[in-house]
Formats: sequence, C-alpha cells, structure tokens
Amino acid sequence: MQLMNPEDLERPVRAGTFLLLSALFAFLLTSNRIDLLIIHGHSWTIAAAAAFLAILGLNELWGFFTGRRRAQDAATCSHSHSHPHHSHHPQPCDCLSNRIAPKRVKRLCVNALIFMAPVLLGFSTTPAVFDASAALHRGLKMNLLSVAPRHPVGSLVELSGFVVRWEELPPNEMAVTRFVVSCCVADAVPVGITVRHPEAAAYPTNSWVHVKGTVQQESRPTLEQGGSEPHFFIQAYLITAIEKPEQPYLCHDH
Amino acid sequence: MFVLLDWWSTFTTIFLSIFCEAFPFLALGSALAAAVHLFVPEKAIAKILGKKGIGRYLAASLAGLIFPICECAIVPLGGSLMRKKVPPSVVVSFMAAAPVVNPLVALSTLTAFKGEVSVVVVRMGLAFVVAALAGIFLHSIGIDRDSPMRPEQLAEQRPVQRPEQRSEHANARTHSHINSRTHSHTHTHAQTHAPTNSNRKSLGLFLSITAEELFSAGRFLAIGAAVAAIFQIIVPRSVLESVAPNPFAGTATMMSGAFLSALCSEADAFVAASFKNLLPVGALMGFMVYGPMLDIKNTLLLMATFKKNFVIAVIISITVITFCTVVGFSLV
Repeated sequence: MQLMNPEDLERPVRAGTFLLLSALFAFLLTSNRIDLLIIHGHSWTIAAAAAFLAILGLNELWGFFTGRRRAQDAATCSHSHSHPHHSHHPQPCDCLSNRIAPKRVKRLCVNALIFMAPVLLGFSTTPAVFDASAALHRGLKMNLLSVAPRHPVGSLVELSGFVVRWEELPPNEMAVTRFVVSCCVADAVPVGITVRHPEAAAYPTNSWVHVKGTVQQESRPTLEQGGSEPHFFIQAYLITAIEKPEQPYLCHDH
Repeated sequence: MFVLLDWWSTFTTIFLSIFCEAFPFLALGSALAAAVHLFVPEKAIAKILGKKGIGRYLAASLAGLIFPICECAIVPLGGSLMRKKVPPSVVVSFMAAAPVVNPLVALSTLTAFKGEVSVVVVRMGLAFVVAALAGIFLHSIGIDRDSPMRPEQLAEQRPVQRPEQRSEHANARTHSHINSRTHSHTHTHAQTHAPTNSNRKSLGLFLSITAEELFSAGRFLAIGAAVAAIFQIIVPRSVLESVAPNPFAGTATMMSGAFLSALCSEADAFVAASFKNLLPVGALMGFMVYGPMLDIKNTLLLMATFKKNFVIAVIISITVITFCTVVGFSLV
C-alpha cells in the first residue's frame, strides 16, 4: 500500500482541521472574545460546535488508525463500478486513487488552507469593537430612546454610550450611540440620540459617557435626508465619562 | 496605514462573526444530511412527498413550519434529499422557503417590527409564493431530467441503508458492501454478517459522513463570510437608503444588499426594521424574502454541492421570481 494515496491523507487532514477549529471555538469561548462576535445568547451554539467538532475529529483519527478507509471508499469503488456484488475483501481497492489522486489531493490541500484562515485570524486577532466611524458607515439611526421603553417628553432619562459626531453637528451637541446586535456583529445596527449640553465638546468622539437629562422634542432636520421622524434629544444636566463597558453591544432579546 | 489597520481589524471581526454564527448551523445541517442519508429510507420520503403535481411544491414550501432550518444548514440537507430521489425542483422549493417560512423567523420578524403582524404575514406569504413558483418553474424547464449533483459528489456517494434492511435489521445498519437489490439476498447477507458492534460502527459511519459533508461545505462558508465582510466594509449601508422611493430600483438594490451582506435569516429582520421609515415596504420585503433564500454564502454552498448549470438556473429563477413578486406586491 502506497503511503500517498489521497484516501490516506483525507481522514487525518479532516481530523486536524476539525480539532483546530474546535480549539478555536473553545479559545474564543474561554477568552470571552466570542461575546464581541456573536450575542451572548448564542454562545451555547459555539460550545456545542466545539464539542461536536472534537468528536468528529477524534472519529476521523480513530478511523485513520484502525479501519482506514472502511466507510467511504468501499462505497466509492462499488458505486463508480456499479458492481452488484462487492466482495468482502478487507483491503481497500486502489481502483480510483491513481486516476484522480492529484486532483483530490489538491482539493484537500486547498480546503484545509481555507479553513486555516478563520483559525489563524481567530487566534491572532482581538475582535474590534465598532466605533463612531463604523456607526456613520452603517447609517446611524437617531432612535436610541425607542429601543428603551417609551419616554414621554419632559421625562428624566439615564443612558450610556459612545460619542459620535459629524460635520453639521453644533458644538453643544453630540450623538450618544450604541450598536444593537441581533445575532452576530455583522448585523449590528447603530442607534443614537442627540445629547445637548453646553460642555458637550469636552467629550471626545468615541469616548464613553453616561448621561442624565430630560427628553425634549423639537423640529429640525434629521441626519438622514428627508427623515420625517419627530426629532427627540436629551437636554443633559449631568454627563460623566465612563470606561468602555465589557459588553459594548446591546442585544435584541428574541 | 492607520486606516488600513482599521479596515483589517473590522474585516477580521465581521468575517469571524459571520463564520462563528453560521458554522454551528452548518454542522447541524451536515449532521442532519448524514442522518437522512443513513437512516431515512427513500420509500419513507416518497410516501411523505405524496403524489406528483403542484401539491408537493406547496408542501415543500411549507415544510419549514415543521423543520425550522436556516439557510446554512439547509444546503447539505437539500443535497442529501436529492440523493434520496426527491426531485430537485421540489428540493429547491424546500431550500428556498424553509429559511423564511418558519416559526423562528416569524417570531424574530415580529420582534423586529415591534408587533406589526402584517409585516410577518406579508414576508411569509411572499416567500411561500416565490419558493413554490420557483420549484414549479424549474420543473417545467426540465431541471429534474438529470441529476444536479456534482460529479465528485456522486462519486463519493456513500453506503446507503436500504429500506428492507432497515425494517428487518434495525441494528445492523452499517454494511457498506451490502449492495444486493433483492430482498432475500439482503436478508441472508445481513444475517450472516450481522456484526456485534454494529451500533458503534454505524455511529462512526454517521460521524465520518458528517465530517466529509462539513469539510467540503465549510470552506465555502469561510469564503462567503470573507466576501460579505469586504462588502460590508466597502459599501456604506446608507447607499441602500439613497434609492428609496422607486419600487424597481429600491427592490433591486435591497435584494443585492441582502445577497452580499449575508445576514442570517433570524437577524435580517432587525436590519430591515432599521430602514423602516426610510424605505417603502416593498423594498424591505425584497431584503427579507430574498436574503434568506440566496446570499453569497449559501450560493457558494450550493456550488459545492450542485452542478454549475443547476446553481445558475436556481439563482436566476429565484432572483427573477422574487423581483417580480415583490415589485408586483409594491405596485398593488
């Protein structure tokens, strides 16, 4: 039996790939980095996937060291030749390996390499937290208050978020913003609220603030062209600079 | 340089987040596909599907109500169903509808639109119509005539459990080399070789088929996630808003946006809801009906499983039918 049959390679390569992915998921979970990628409520899917991948990987290893190519390759041969009866021979047939070996090995290598992208990136990079420029890029919606329970005009509110600014914004105003995530950060929607305070300019863009103030309403153009929402803002009486929270994203609970 | 670094870290974040979100579901889909392959006999599926005719397309388009499966998990399962002799056009109806017409998506849509039942009803209704029409159309152009599976998928076709074996030897389900067609032969064969550790073997077989399926599909998920991340970085979401009022351009833009941003079908309603007051309902429907049926990641998954011509036919028909249905809806 030649060592370089593609069948000999497939199971250990799959095993290695799955074990690495399993390790990646376990790493993302234990380092809490996963909370910056998908919502906390979905973490269990990552835990389940890590366990399942480990089982798949170990099974492939086990199959490699014991049964070799029992399952798949017996079928490959019998199907491609459509023998009505395939003898019970224990040694794997080498009928296909010579003909399609190079193509198969190439595909195998490319596959494994592609899987290495998430593995390498996942281990080596800390997930970025979306900031003010991302908020503008993703189309900031000025309806943070409607995410929380309704607040009538004049009521006291307290909220925290990071500071976003754009050119037309007067110096005594800033947009206090949060990203709302429903499954993974790829679907994050930025929502903000205008906060007015004489010293608003003292809080730099992207810094995190805690705001206490009253809800006010006025008629003025919104960020979006032709936006027709009633424009609410918060007249702040107290702004405190705070640390970026450990979970910077808000989650929709389904 | 700084900007470049910024882009790179945003790219890796979005890429990893899509990959991590979708991979567990792809694994689930692969496991389901392997289970169907090994343990569900063709006859049982044929029985459930019932007679020929339009009824089976309607049934396939409603199957998601019972099997709420998202768009990543559904492709391996679809391939597995086709290997079980389910007509490809029926599988297309099922694959298109199940990620939208299902209770979980209905619930998340309801939450996203703050209890507006009409949005949920319209979304489900349009998706149902599109999926059924796409299946019927593909059947009528003769897509069912030959197998849409990719050649290597056929070559790698695995041992199949024959219904006869299953009914008589529920525990001896591992014999890949039992290839006999006749009932009596199967019977004797299975008896003489009934292994003592058959359960363990069949678990091993299940796992290795799942592994094979997941390994071949997973790379496409990785590529799809990368393309979606690049799109999200390059194109500001506000571009989608700029085309607003025109039903044709609006729908087309929102459909392209849904295709390229590759959001999962439970999440896209929330993104659509953020456009609520800026775009007409029709454009939002384009986003929410088309996105779960086809996006960059599951198109690549389709290509992993099916022949190129089949994938192209599926994409064109679903795209055109969705566009017409949604535009028709917004003009009414």
